[in-house]
Amino acid sequence: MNCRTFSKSLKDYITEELSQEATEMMSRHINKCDKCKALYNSELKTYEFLQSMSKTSNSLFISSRSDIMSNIDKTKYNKTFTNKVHFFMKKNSFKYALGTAAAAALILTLSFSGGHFKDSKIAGFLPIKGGSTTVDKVKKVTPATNTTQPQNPIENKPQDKNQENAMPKKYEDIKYENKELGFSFLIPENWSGKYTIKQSAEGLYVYFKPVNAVSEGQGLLFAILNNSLVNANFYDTVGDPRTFEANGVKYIVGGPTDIGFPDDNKEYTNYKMLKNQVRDIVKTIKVIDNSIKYENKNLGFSFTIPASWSGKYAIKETADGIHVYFKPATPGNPDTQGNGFLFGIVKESTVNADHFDTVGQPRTFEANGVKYIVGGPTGVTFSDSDPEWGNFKNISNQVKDVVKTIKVISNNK
Amino acid sequence: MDDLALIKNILDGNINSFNVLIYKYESSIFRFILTMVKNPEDAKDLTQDVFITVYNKLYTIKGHNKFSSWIYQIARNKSLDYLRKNKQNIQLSIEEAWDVFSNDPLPEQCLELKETKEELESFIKHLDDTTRQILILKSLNEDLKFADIAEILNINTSTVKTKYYRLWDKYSSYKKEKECIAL
Repeated sequence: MNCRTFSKSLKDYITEELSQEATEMMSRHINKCDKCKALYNSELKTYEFLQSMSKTSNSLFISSRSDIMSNIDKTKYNKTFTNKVHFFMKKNSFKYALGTAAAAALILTLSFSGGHFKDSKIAGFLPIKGGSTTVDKVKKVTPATNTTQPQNPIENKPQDKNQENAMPKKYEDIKYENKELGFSFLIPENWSGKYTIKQSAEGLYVYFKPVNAVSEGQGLLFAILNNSLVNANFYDTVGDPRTFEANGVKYIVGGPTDIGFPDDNKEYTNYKMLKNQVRDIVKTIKVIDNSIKYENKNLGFSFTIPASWSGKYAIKETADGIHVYFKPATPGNPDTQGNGFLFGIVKESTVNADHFDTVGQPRTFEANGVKYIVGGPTGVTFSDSDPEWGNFKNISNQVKDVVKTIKVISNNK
Repeated sequence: MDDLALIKNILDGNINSFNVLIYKYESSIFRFILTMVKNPEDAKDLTQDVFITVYNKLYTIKGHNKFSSWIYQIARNKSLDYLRKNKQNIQLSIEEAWDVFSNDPLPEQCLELKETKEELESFIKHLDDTTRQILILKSLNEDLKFADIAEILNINTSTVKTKYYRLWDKYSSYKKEKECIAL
């Protein structure tokens, strides 16, 4: 081992994160090399400082051991036969549930092939009654192959609810679309009536909706929230994507860090079933393209403006080209604020390029036989003490992305 | 007696072993929760809650699970739930919260320790939440590996390691800087 490798692995060595073989090599090197031994001693001292965190006294801590002991059921793990059977069954409940489900499916498949359910249009394809109460803009996405959708779900209601549940599942997805936030996702139809979506300033929360009400906040399945308004650590990863951007906002997709629903509630199994499908829903998240297309057939070019700019910009056209400005909601004093100029696309022959800073690519292009130059102000054109400074800055930062979208179009004149 | 042996005893009906488990972990769990919720009273309640949950769910723990990781995970989840439900009530700033630890009276003879503690406190005040939690977990439990901490905090092992080592380097530079000023 050389000194460089030693130094690279030193922290891992001190924290005991190395393999036994590597640890032995490191120890041997310390004994051979004085320089590395000194380095080891210095790093070890720092580590010990960091580790001394827990060595300091903690006067705020008063043990609650007796309270805890008095609040637990001391007979819970008594060695009685019934207790033993109970915990054995609970521990292996998943295996039993799987076995029971397999047996039920087998019995029903046999019954089905025996002609008990000749009307295959009925069972298994029905939406469960009582859809979500707060779902915003949901529509069903009917698979092309499914031609057996019943016209009237009430008339075609299955005779036996158990039969419905045990039939092979063939779901239609429910499309949830939120144009305001700029994204959509698909919800399996078996969720119908069992979920609720709440929109707040932070974004969307999707909850399990049990038949019997539970206290607020319980049953969270997943949430899509503005990353700058929440602490991502409070929401565990529930699938891919973990983050995405829509309408200029970075969203985080996450779920509860704990179970999220009381496991002794009789509807816990339903909650868990929905929770297991969250990953598939997250996969279907799509950003809705609300971007604004600016097209100037007269000058022969177009570009795309992000939806987040809506109502916050103005375009002025002159004989030489166009100028794009930031438009604050409350216009201030132009003398003290500047004019909010963002960028312009003008005939190259009409400007001094030195006074027209590069704002992105392309810097120049040709349309309708005219050479245009793309540029922006050489300084800041908006007051940083204005309450809308933040908006101006956000928009300014996106100018380069807008410039990238410039396209030459044919003149239809 | 190691944790798994204690758990086996509890599951065999020996309630005293649970007493031992509480004795072993209660202070560290309280401290970890306190760094998250920043309120000693609530941290105390949550700590009790953690142990009651641990007791009730003890039969679900499997042989390959590390008890220390499991109990810290429960503590973290309970703290996050608490923070989610009470986010509007948390007024305490990070600095104030950290000062909670600073109020501990130290014996006169522990001057060196006091110096270290003050030094660490002034340094730690400026850390982000995750790094602070990593530091606390690592210092509270020497047997917790980076992989265990990653599992508790639900982040990548490499993130934990990077943050901890970065903190280490930062602390070294901080100390050097202080030494230079002292000279």
